[in-house]
Amino acid sequence: MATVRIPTPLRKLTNGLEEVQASGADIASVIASLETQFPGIKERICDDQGKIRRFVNIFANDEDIRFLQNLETPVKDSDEISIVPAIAGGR
Amino acid sequence: MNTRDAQRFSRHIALPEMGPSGQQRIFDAVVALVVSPDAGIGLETAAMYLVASGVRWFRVLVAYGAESPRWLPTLEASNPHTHFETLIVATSGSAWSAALKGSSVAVRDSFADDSFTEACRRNAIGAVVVRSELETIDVLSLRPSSQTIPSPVPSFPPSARDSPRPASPIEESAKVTAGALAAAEALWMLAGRGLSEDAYVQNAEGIIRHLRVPLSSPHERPVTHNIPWPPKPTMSELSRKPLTNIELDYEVDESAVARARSRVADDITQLIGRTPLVRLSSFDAPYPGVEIWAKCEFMNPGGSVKDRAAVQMMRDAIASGRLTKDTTLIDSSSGNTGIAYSMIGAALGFKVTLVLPGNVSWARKKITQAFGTHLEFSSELEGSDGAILLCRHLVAADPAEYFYPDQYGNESNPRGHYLTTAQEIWEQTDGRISHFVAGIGTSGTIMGTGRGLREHNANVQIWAVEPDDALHGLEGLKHMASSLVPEIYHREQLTGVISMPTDEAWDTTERLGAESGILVGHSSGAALAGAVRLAKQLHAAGRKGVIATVFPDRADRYFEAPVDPAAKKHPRI
Repeated sequence: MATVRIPTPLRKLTNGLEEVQASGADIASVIASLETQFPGIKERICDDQGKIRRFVNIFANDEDIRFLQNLETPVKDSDEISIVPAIAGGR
Repeated sequence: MNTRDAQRFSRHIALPEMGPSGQQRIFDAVVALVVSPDAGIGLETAAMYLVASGVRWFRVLVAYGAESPRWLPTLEASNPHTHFETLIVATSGSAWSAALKGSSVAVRDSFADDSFTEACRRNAIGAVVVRSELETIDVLSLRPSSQTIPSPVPSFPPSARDSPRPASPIEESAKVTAGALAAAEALWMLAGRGLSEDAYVQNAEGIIRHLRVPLSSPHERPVTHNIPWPPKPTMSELSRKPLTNIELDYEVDESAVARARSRVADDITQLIGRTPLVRLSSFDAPYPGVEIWAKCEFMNPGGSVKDRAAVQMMRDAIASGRLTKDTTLIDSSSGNTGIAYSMIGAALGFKVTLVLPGNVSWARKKITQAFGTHLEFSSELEGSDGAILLCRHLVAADPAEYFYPDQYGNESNPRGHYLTTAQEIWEQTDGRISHFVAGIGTSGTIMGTGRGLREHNANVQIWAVEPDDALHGLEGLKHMASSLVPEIYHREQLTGVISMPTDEAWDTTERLGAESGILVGHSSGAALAGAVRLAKQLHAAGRKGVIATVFPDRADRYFEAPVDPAAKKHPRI
């Protein structure tokens, strides 16, 4: 089970948890696992076509998955996945 | 005129060309004394002669870059019946035109360029120019004539002023002569009686009298030159068509444009506000009867609308003694407000510390550091609320050290908009505004501007635009339901709130760049997308409207530092 760090805007869907566990061999499966545990979370992160939304970044061990294999990026149990909003709030 | 004045100026009045009416015209005249950066010659003497001759009203126009003359305070102090007003003027034709308005004649030193002479023509006033040449000092007298257009003043070889040697007694003497002649020329123009035919060169084009005071022996009779005018320009060269856009039913107010262009400031903070309003025709075209306008807040010196809030908060704090040279301004700001504080702190000499989320754009971090600001970082997972909490923690730990403006709770924030943004929009739409739409972050813009507009017209609708979800891509805006609600936010003062999806805002932002040439941040696209929704509703209901919105900042504030794909590192840390 990989560790997934949850950003503040999504924590109300994860019962306030900032870190959760998810199973899956790649990022797509990890997201599916999150959706099973916390229904509604997937549509916040992905659009209608299942792609990661433009304004959401996902990091596998501090590497942006855009530079890896995107949704097919392989995931190991020891990995730390971070969901980071593209913006900080900005005022 | 009273007996005392008649006695004092009796020698003037006795001249047939002058008489009591000429002297009265001198009393009533306003003389513009024009000071240029190259610290010219003869103006001081001319001013003294003019004062001695009875001129009472002076407007000292200091060209931008020049210093206010050192002789001015003495002249002012020694003549209680004279009044001096000083203005700094940008060196453009329209600025001169505006500055010279209301003057009877202008006396200036150094060269008179085309923009100055054209401005004299526009105001139908005469000008006397005193300038030094290699062998001589020239006094040029340009008398206005209603039926002619003066051509540019003929150019002469470079001036002897450029040499570093001190002025010789002969040069000093020549300056006095030149100054006296200049005053005499000005007085003739003011007296208004004109001189006999042979005193002026007259032809169909215009009138110029050119006196050369030789540096070698200034007490010789000055030589008069007759300058032939070039042929009169044709009507097509002369005509100045006002700017009109045939698709719109208004004309550009050129005097307003000129006023805006001629702004001159003592420091950068004085250039905050008074931003332009731009029409977004490609966005309101589908909805005839509805106009959409946007206030270009990215044209503030700090690059964003936040300059207004920051300067108001800081000015109010300086006035109340909360911000001093010993306290440090601290606030949580992931961007524009922080940049504004940094800029104003640097300009006015106050220390600034900012608390930012770790994932703000690289550009934001570099900009604030360039102003000398100290940065503290909060967790990138906790967004701007995380920064707020860390900031409050730091202030609580050392309250004496810090001034915490707290942009979310400080009434000076909306007050700045109430005082400036609202008034500007009201004037810029000629009071026709029916709807004001703005993105909501701290809510300062919408609250203050809304309040100000409604004081002029209670029927103006005030609409806020917020992201439709807590997880959004609209940097600068706040999803109220999931955030710490700002204390300055009063939902009941709004007509309504538009819930904006990130994609719609991003698409609108991209359209703005491609279709209107306006490259702005996503919060601007969000505001415009909200305005477009309103326009659509109004049009569908068969109604008209004038919608104004705000573009807070430019797109380049969001560009990221180049990412090295080989490094595959987190680009924001």
